[in-house]
Amino acid sequence: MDELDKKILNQLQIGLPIECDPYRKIAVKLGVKSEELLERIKQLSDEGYIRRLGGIFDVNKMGYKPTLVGLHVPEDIFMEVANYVNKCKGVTHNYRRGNYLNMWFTLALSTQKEKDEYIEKLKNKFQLKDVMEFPTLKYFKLRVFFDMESEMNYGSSI
Amino acid sequence: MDQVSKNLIREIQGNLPICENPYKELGNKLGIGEEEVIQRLTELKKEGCLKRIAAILRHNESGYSANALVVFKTDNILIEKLGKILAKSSIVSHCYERKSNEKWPYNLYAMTHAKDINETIEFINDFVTIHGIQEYEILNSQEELKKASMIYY
Repeated sequence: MDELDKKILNQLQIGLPIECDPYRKIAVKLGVKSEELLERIKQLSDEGYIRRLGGIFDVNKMGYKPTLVGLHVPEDIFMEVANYVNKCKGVTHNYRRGNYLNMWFTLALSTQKEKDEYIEKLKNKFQLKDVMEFPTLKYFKLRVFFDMESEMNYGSSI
Repeated sequence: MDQVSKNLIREIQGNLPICENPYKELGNKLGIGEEEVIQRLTELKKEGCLKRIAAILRHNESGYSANALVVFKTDNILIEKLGKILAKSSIVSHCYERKSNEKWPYNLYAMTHAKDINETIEFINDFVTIHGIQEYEILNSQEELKKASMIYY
């Protein structure tokens, strides 16, 4: 990955214009030809740096009520529970974390009722005692941006 | 929302064609013109359903392999101020107030991404010291079990 690739990844994270010739507009901005830009994007995608290049949606405005679930899963059934949770369409992120609550997943379903039912089903199926839901009360920030160009390791704003 | 827009969402919830005229290409798939695709996407953006058309990176491959959910306990008065301060930092991608309970008293959540976990620890140490936060936890991402985009249609 060279400097131009990093610039490309940053620009693509910011967004593609919703107008004719969107890639050319970015190519002009970066001082390269469209063909080269498209070639590099294909390569960055093939190499696995770009997970997806498409529509980023507001899950709330799309009619879902996202929440966060944190639970304690005994080690002997950990992967079994993970596989079960992963199958749910409303689960987009699921991680093992270092804490007593060792599995955390996001859950976006259409209604509170569906959410409650899913969590109840999960608890009962695996006899889990500590399954907690942490609904959002307020958003302060939702902006994922992995700065590829910056030499700094993080911003400072204490 | 009509069926055409739903079909459009179905297309772009995945990958946009990587070609010179991606919106024209989308239009071909849906049986509508490029202009209409652009119009519909603009409308979806105005409504707030669509935030942007953009790339999502694989953070580990991109060098950001230190990812941690950090949770803090703070009061209702301070949370507003602290949430805003966390939001300003580029190490924080998500920052929310969430419901707490007796067993889990933390109400301020920040998702952090850095190149090295020590940077995160340093940032959090400074933050809690300056703001007098007594109770907090750093929950490292130890294993990615699932990472996918939402399928709407």
